[in-house]
Amino acid sequence: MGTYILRRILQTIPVLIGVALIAFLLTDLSGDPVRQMLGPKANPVMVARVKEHLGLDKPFLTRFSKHIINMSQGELGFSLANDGKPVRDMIRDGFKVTIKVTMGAIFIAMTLGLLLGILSARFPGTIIDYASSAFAALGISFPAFFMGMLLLLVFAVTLEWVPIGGYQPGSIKHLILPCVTLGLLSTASISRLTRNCLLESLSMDYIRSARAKGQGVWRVMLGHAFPNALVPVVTVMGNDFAALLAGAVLTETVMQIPGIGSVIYEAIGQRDLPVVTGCCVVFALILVTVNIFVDVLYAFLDPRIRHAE
Amino acid sequence: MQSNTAAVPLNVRTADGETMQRAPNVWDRLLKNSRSLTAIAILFFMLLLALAAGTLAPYDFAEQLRGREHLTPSSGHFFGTDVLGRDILSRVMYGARVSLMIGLSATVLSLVIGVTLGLCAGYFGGRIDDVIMRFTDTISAFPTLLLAVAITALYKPSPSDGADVLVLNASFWKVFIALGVVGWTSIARVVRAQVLTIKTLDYVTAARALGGDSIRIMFLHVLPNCWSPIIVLATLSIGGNILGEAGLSFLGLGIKDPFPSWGGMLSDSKSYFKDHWWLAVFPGMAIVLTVLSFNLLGDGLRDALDPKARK
Repeated sequence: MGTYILRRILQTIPVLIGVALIAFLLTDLSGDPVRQMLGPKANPVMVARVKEHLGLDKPFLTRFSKHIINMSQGELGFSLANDGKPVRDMIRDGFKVTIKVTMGAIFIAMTLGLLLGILSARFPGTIIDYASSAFAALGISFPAFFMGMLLLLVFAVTLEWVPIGGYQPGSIKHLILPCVTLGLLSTASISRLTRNCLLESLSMDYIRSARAKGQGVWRVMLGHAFPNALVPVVTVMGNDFAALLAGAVLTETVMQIPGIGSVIYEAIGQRDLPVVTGCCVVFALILVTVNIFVDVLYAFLDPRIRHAE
Repeated sequence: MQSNTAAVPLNVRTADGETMQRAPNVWDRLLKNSRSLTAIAILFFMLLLALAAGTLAPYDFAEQLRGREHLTPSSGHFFGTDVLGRDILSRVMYGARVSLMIGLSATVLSLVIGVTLGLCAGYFGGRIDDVIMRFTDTISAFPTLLLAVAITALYKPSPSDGADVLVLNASFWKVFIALGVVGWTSIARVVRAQVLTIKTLDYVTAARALGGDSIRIMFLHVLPNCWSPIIVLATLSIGGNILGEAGLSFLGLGIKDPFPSWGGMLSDSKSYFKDHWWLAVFPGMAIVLTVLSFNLLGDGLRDALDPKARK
């Protein structure tokens, strides 16, 4: 298992260098950051001096290696707006809120998705199965922000069960709608996959053997078929994490939540590219880490994977 | 799923007047699937709306009707009017043009990049495969929408932008490129996996032994046998790109006003939809309906192209 984890970590090194290169190129292509910071009427001597001070007059490779060293130390550059605030600090502040929304969404997606999937597989071809199927098809077709708007209209404006957007530290009420919005979108894919994998597992010989021994339907389903069906579901959950983070950006914009989505939204408005690329890098790092975690979990759940090769 | 796509043999009359049964082909299987059929009908309707918007739309997309701002849906304005008094139905119809064009064109760009890279990686293998796949891994490491946001944010708007035609204006190109260059990774992976199997088949070895060059073998002999999963993936990614365009427009990086796009209309409604629901609901439902249709069509195509997988 240790070798497997080590090999998986080593495989991500080229990806991380690639991520750093793309982020560097994007920032580099966005134009002269010093001119953007000092304005179009800045004194050329002053511009040259600031560039020299920041090391922006150096050749490409020198700047890129410095960029890699900075990134490995957690330095993601400075915002072109917000008085040159470090991008790292802006992302850290935003993430404190976004992580709550994302975790809540994952909890809802896992609970509801697995429940719907199990019920669909237990009663295939019934109204429960068709309803869950329709829900899943709709779920993957909804833009996150439109789902957020509809939920706001129904639960905040009409029924007044939850506040209309906004955020208060420590208030769970304000987080319910963003979590439900994002969670519902992932619920769709998880429920379909759970259903299909469970139905496939239920057609296996070992299930027939378990039933022949006299075990109940639910016991066979949850004790034997479910653990095997869980392997692909965990993988999809890892992939869904990317969609959840991107969805969080849009949902936070609708719900006026001061998370990473709002940081990106403001940065776009101010054409503050270091912040946008900084967020991209952090998201990529999170996704790479989640993928490693999912692979390890996959190997833990299915011994055939860790014993391969 | 199985019941409504059952492979029913079709009757064929031969030259001798005998009636024989032929195996159903992809189209037969696709059209027997009620969900695919519904999806095709909806998409055909959307395409018609997009193409004939100039004739069918009651108003021009940019026409501001003074004194008719924020009207609720009624017989005069079926979908109501927006904050500037523009007819929402007309804007949704013109918006179909933008959304479908972006969805289709960005998918074509992703296909060109993904198929070429996947073919090269799978066919040549070795170092080329390693480099291409690590590059693919790197691009997939970014959330697609965020990378598209970063690429779109590179573009500096100029005053002449937006003075162009409805589609193919500056903001259209920017969205098309951003979505096209980030959405190819899954296509490349699928093509590579297909090529790895196909290149070991005897007919490819024979083509190589006859002296065919690599490019010719890749595109003329290997690629035609990879099309099934590519078609399915492309159909699904049209829906994904329509969602992507909506997301970019929602963040203010997509199609610029006065040109309507469904995502842009949702973005415009952000401040008003709590009191005027129709501003968000109609363009939003247009997105959902279109993306849902592409997803259902993609699923139907998967079943029709690979009956074994369905079983």
